[in-house]
Amino acid sequence: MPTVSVELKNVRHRYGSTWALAGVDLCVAPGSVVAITGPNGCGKSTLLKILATRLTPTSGTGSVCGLDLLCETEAIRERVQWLGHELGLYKSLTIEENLSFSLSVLGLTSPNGAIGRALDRVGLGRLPATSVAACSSGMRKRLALARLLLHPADLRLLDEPHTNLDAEGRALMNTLIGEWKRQGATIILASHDHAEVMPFCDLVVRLDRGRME
Amino acid sequence: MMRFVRCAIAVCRKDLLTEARQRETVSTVCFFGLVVVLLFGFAVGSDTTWLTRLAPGLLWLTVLLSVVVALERSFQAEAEEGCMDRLILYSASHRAVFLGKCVTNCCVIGTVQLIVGLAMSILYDLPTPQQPGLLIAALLLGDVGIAVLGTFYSAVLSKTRARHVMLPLLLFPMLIPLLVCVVTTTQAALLGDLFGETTVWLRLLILFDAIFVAAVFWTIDPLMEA
Repeated sequence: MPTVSVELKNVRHRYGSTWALAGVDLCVAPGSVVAITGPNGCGKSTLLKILATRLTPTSGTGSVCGLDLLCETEAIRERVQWLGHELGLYKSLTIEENLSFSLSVLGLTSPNGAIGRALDRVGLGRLPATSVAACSSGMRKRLALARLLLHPADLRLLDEPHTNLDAEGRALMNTLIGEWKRQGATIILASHDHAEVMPFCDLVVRLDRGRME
Repeated sequence: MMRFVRCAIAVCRKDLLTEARQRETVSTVCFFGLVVVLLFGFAVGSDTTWLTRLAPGLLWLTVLLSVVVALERSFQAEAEEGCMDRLILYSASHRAVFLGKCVTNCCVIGTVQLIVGLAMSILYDLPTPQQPGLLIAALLLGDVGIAVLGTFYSAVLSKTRARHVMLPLLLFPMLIPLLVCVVTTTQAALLGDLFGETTVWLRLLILFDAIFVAAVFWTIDPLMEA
């Protein structure tokens, strides 16, 4: 078990001529909940994408779960879950088919009723045969949440996790974050709403124009 | 290895399920194919000798033009809503995803071949093939070649705005050698091997397929990661 879950050293990332991250240093202990806050365009999503290995930093080094961010991307992906703005759901499939597709791609076999239990947990238990195309954005977010419940992860990266959720959904999200923390997972979430994430976070980091304040 | 196979099957099953529900691609593609066959029949007239001689070339030309739509749509679902990113973050093997897509495209191309071929044999009053086994081999090998290369370019161009224009521009020139082999082999299967050249064309066809498969599976990983 590594003593540091996430470590970034002078990580910078550039889109064309614009620097989205202009030298970020971050150290997160295992089992902690960290919020990255800041205004739109400050680099929150870019930082999470780098941690999820979907973006390679322009410069800088780091590690995730004790694995090198640049060289051990495949191993990192096995340990990380990511909930982004784009939920990665197939509109032509039903709610249940989306979850069973994810399990198949992950190479996991679904224990008896695991999908049903996950859907019950997020309040979609009575709608497994509903097409995703017919779901509201809130229901889609709940489905993406159900997908996170299907397999464990050491690090969960949540980009604006409360967006599109109603009050009940936001409460459910907060409950799940608490449960994942108790299970020992590290959670890093990005949010522009400082007040909303303050109550359950161990550390709040503010980004402004790609720099940590 | 098991995970690779399961992932490929899951992708293929998902795509076929989507197609079975929406019926957008196959219906569009087959309709276009049937219109081409019908119009060509009117243009050439009722001379069955001419129609029989032209049938192999027309079959593959129709299949090629029709399936471009299907090939272009291969990665559309993955390009939307961040599904490709999701697959990559699941550590899904790019080759497995590609294989799943390839098999789906083989099925679509096979369906088009079947429908266009049947329509041609009825409308053009084509004779029974002299070598049915060779005809099936030519159809399968042509199917695989077009599917592999077409899926490859579809994957490469999936994030490009001009993919509708770029796909035929890149795909058609690369397929010319394969099409020459497959049309000649189909003609020999239909009319008989007049000059005893079929084996050479069939070997060339297998060689092109093998080269396409090897080259594509070798290069697809870094291209899809980007």
